[in-house]
Amino acid sequence: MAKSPPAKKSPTNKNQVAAAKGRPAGLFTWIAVGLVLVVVATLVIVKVTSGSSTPSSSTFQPASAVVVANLTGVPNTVFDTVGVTSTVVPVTPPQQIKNQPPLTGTSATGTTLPVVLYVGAEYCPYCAAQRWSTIIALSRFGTWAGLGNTSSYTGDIYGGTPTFTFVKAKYTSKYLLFRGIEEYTNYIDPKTNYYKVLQKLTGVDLAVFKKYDTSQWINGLTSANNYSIPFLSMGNKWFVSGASYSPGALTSLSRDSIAAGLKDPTSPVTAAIIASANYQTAALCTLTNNQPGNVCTSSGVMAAKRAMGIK
Amino acid sequence: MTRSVQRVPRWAVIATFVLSLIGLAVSTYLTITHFDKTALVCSSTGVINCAKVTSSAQSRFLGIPVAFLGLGTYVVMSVLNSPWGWRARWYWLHVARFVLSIVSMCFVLWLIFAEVIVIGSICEYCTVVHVVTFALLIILTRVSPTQLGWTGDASSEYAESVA
Repeated sequence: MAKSPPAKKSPTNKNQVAAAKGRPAGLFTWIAVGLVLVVVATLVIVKVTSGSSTPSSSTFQPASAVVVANLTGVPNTVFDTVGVTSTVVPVTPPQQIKNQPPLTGTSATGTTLPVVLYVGAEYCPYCAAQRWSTIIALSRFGTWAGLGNTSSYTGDIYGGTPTFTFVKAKYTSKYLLFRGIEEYTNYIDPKTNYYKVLQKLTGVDLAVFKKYDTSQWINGLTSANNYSIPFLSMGNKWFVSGASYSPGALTSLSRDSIAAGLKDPTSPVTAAIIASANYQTAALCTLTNNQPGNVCTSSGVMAAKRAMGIK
Repeated sequence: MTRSVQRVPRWAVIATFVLSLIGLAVSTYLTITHFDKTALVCSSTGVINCAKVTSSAQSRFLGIPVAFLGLGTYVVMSVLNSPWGWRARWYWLHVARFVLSIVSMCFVLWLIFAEVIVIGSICEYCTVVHVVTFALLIILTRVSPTQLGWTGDASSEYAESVA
């Protein structure tokens, strides 16, 4: 008798019963591979058709009149209400270095004045935060023109922090001179694969930067972080190396809303910016023989002076 | 109720284990370079720029360095894809392997988005991990559904109940 072929093995449990009714084994693989390839291809197409995610060149964009007005017209009550109180966002005052040769320059009228030197870069988020308070502090001693809009590099930490560029800024004051150097743009130069060079430090400014922005002079700076930006020398008497407060306070906000909020002393962001501005104003008052008097004796600045040990 | 799992072919066991060890080695290296930046050896010109990618804002996810997440994933993957892991009788362990592979691939797609669109640079070591993750997904989508009894191939070449 011929042997009958073995009967097909029947499923032995619930899984196998379900499996027998199920999908072919390769289906999951084809779906997975298809989805992955579609997503990756879409990303590549988007990248190729839209070009670089960051601009390869930039056009100077002047800051709006409304924003500049808010920035340089902070009410005195806000300065005085905030003082140096910023409970949510910690603020660091400038550091004094005594007995150094003063950093001075000659004004257009031939007067020798203390110089405020700023070194930073448009890509730098810490510079982005610092500019807000520095512009406000200096606006109490003079007037700004030519401020431009910019934001820190989007691919960096605190990417896209809204701020202003000093690249075309003109500062006019009878008390102080301002020299601002933005070393790099906020976009990558494809030729060097680094940020495109914007302005170069030279002469005395380079010497000051190289001498003082080092661990030898700046408290808390390690030698690995020498030449950090932002760097501020206020007449070689007061120094800032690194942001006075965290850019994280600004990252989720627009330039317009930050500027508009400067009228509200209860805002934590405003408190940080204004406290930092009051500290810098107090430092600047030591360079101007406490002029203008209404600024240098205001209660907000006096609070900063007390906190900084300025008599 | 006991769920059974089917045995998978030897090639799948070997391939997934080798791929997991490659992923483990590269993610270990990337974790080391997270602490010691000087240990990172890669091109920094053109599109390939590891330092730019590994120091970007996207190099952290929910505050955790992505290198740590990669290392943790491949430690688990190496265990699950070891011959001992494949021989385990616990059904949900094999489900976990399959789910981890899918989740890992989704995360890799997010990282590719970050590299291509946001950062504009590619990290070659990260790409090795991405390719390994994709290869694991291909193999696991081929064998895991059958192993777990989700397809019609339970009585085919892979069918050998271990439960």
